[in-house]
Amino acid sequence: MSTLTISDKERFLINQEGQDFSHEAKTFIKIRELALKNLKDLDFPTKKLENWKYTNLRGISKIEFRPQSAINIIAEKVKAHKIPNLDAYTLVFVNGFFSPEFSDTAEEKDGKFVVTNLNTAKRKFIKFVEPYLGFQTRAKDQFFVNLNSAFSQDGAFVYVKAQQKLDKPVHIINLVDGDLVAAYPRNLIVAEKLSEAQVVVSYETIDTASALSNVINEVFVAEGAHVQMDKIQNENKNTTHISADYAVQHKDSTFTINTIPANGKLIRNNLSILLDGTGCTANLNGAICLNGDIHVDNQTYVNHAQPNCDSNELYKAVVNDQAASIFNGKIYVNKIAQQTNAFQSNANILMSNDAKANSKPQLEIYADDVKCSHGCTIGQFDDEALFYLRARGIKESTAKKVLLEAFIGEVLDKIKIEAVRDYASALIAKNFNSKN
Amino acid sequence: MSMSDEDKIIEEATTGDYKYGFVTDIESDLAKVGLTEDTVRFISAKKDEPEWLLDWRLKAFRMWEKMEEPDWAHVSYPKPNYQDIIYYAAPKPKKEYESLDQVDPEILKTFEKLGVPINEQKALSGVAVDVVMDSVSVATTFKDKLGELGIIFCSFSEAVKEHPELVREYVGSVVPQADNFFSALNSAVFSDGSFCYIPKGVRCPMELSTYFRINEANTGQFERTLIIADEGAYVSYLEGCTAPQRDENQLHAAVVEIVAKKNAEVKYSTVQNWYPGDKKGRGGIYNFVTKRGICAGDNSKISWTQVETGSAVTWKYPSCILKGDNSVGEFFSVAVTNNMQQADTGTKMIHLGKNTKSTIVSKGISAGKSQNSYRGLVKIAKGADGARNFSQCDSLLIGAKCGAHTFPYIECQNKSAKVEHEATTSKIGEDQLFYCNQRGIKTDKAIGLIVNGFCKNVMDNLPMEFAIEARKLLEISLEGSVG
Repeated sequence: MSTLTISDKERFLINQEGQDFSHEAKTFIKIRELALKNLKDLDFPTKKLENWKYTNLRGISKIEFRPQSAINIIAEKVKAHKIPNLDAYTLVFVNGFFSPEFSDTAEEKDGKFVVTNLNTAKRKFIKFVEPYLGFQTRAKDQFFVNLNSAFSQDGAFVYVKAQQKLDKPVHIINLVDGDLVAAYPRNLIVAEKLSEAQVVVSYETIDTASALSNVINEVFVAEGAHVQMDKIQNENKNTTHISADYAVQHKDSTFTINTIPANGKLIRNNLSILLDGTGCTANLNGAICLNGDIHVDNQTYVNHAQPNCDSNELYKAVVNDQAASIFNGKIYVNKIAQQTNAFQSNANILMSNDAKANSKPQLEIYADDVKCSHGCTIGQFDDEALFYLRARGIKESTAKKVLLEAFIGEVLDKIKIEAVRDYASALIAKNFNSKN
Repeated sequence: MSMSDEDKIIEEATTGDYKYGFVTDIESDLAKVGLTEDTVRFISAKKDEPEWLLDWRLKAFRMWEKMEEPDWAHVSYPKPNYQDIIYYAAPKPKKEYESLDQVDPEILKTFEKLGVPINEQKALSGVAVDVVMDSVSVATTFKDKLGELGIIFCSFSEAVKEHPELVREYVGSVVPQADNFFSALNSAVFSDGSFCYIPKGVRCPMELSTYFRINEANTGQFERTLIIADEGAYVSYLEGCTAPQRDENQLHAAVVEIVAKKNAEVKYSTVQNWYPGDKKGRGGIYNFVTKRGICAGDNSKISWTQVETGSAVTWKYPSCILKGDNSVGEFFSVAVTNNMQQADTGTKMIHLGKNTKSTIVSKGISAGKSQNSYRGLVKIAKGADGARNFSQCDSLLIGAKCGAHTFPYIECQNKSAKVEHEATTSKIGEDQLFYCNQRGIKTDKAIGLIVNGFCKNVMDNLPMEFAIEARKLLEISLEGSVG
């Protein structure tokens, strides 16, 4: 007699099955099949892996997360998660599934761009999707990337044609509703030659939902194009959020990504940027203010594959309570990438003795004519600055708030859209005020 | 300056040959090739060691057997076959030496080639030299003078015999046997090394110095150094090494342990110039060293200064555990890699006590096709109130085929701590060279000037006589472009 024992991972994968993707075009089914094949050899990352050294997924593999389509979504609750005063094309996804009733799409508006959900695009605009989807997510060794590739339900598709500009930003709202939801939203953003796009992605939860949000954002920035992306992670304390963001840039393009991880149980961001043309600029910013026992892990990887590119990274964190902020940034400069300018800066302020900040700013450089630098600091608010303000009759809590605004404000200023900046700024202030 | 000039200089810089390669002919007493429990017993018996030390070695050996060679460092090399190494080689014993005349003239000649005339040093420089030829100390000078102050400075095996209580108390207390693969290996088979004890309140009047040489072909070198500075003591310890030219890779896995008690200060300086292999990367020493010091008492200080120019592969992280309140750890390093050399070096500063301070200054220079990495950890534990760290890692690239990398780890769990880290990577600026050329300084001289300036704040931390040797080594390492 034999007892068949299966591993936690296998049980987890079985729980994800049961979604029907057979209606998809062959080329997309292939991506799923390949990912499933890769998953066979992979397992949940553990602290033994160098890149997961500081993040413990704490038995997440044992939790019975399942894909669930949300029913009876209350319109009011969706609206509550819109960013006030933001005039944008809004796409709403609940548990990874598209909610057309709350979304306004734009399909080939004036022949300039496409803003719709990925499943629609896979049917209607296959020639725009096929060359890009899954192109950057082929890594065989990434468990969560392959997990999303295999089980992703839907996501946003933004396509801007050459020399065109999105007339207003696209706001992608990803909601989670229900218990033990496994959500796999996957967005694809393509900016053709000399085009321009602004995309805001926010992740939120309805009420006390609990979930594993495993998301991918794939961005293609063609020659001379400009893409700015703001990412706001504001889920509840029951939600683990694991995100992989990829961008590939061609000649003279600019890509900016601002990450604001505000709330959740555990947030992990893997940001990977390939500078695959000369004269590119990449800007990576993070404004982080944490409280409670949230664990936020930001990993960035900037690959300078071609000469004459610039990359700038600025991550600033204020850590309260028992929260932990991790920054692991790597700049890789290829042999031929001469005249590279790469800067990386990570500053942390610890507000409590149970708070933690770990930082690992790395440089890997194989070209000689480069200017690369990184800096990292961990410290406190300047006592003298605080004293200066208090001596002028400003009470301590206000004084601290002023200093916080000065500290984090530098990053928030990088957000171009005012409504988004205000929203992010309010989230940060709220996290800071709850204790101080 | 034209491109071809620059290429030529880089070419010269990266093809300079190792100047200190020669073999001294001395018969050696060899252990059998390979490593088993018997080898460990053989070494222990050969050295007439007490039972407890044999047990200690065997314990380490058993742990080592279960360990795997680490591969996380940014280096690649054919893994040595640990069963293909001779673990013990000693020059034929010639009883005790009372004066230098009794020392093997061959050995004295070697030191003359190295520019270390013991006689002169003894008379002029006031440096006591504990000469380690292969694995056994063969000459010790100035011992009487140190003895008057109660300072013990002798070979490790002598210390085991003369001061077993001290050795037993401190050996393995900073670097435990199972700390890592190479420390376990060293603990099992260490041949000899230096032992130094500075009693309470004594300030060691001279720099203590040891010259290491790897000699017999195919012998691993497993030194073990233990330095104890008792309350209020001070010592400055120098370690320097050059090695003969070899075709086969030689393994060097040393362990250095430092204990600084209350108000004590230890300054440890190294100039390392093991044979780096030829231009194609053949041969050369594997230098896998575990160096660690503990500031055990309040107000103590440990300072590491190193100039690394040699070895095919370097894997070395001199560290400080800052346990006592107000203790201070320092790390100053210049690492030069050329040709096919690979270095993965840095430090660990573990802040445990209150108001502890650490400073890290690391300068990496890569030329040729070499890879130079800084890897460091700054850890502020929860109780380390008021801890302060400053780190600076700068890399200089000479030529387009080399690599410079930085992998710093910063972990902070205390809100009153201040940690700063900064790193830059750049090449010698055209404008800097132009400035020098314009003022009539030739390009290779100018490069020398710039490199020297780049390393200056580390070099300044070396004791004077060492700084001269260090500059000399730097010049040899970057021959053609420097000086």
